[in-house]
Amino acid sequence: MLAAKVDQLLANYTRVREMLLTKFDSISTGALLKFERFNRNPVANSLLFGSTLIVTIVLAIVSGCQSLGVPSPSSFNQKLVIAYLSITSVRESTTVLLQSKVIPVNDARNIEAQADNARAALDIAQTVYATDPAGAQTKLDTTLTAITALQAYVASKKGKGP
Amino acid sequence: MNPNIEALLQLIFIWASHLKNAASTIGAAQAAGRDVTAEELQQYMSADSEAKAALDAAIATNPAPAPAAAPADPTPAP
Repeated sequence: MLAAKVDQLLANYTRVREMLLTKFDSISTGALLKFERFNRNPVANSLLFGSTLIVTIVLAIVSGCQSLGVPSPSSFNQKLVIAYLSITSVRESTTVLLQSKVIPVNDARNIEAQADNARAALDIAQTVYATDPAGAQTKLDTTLTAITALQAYVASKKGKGP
Repeated sequence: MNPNIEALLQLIFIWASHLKNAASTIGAAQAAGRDVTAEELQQYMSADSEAKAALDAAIATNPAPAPAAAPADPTPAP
């Protein structure tokens, strides 16, 4: 059920993105200048980022709603899937932010080092689980907390320009 | 388009794709009454390794900013 909803979301996103790009390509010079002024206005940019972030958060809440039939991770392996995905998401987000010059290369290196540490901790937890399930679970939980903090840090960079 | 907005759209796309993958894997496992298999887990580990390689490449192509030049010594030479 969620997969279908996300598919629809992605299709809508692609359509809107292409429409925006096309519109911006064919826009008149006067309107383009106005858009450029809007674009360079930090307050307008912040508002735009704020509204987009709010949409993202709402989507996250709606998509995470149990009433929509979204499965929540229950077993150790299911939590591991979420943890690995979160680290991948952090790395990919960092790549996009770096390529867009939103964050400097030193910041990207620091984020990557923390992601590497989290990944190593997850690998250890996975290995230890067979002999010490409780210890592995604790390591996984603490690592998930660290990943969440790292995600929050990366998210805080989304609205900041170069 | 403002590169920041383009970046944000990409990030939303990334987030949605991962959400879809997680829902698909965990949902299928729960629906079948089983746990996530080692093979499925391996796919996510491989995806992370690929993301790391991409980030490494991006870091390599973005040189660190040059350190600020030291201010000239205002003391007159003897």
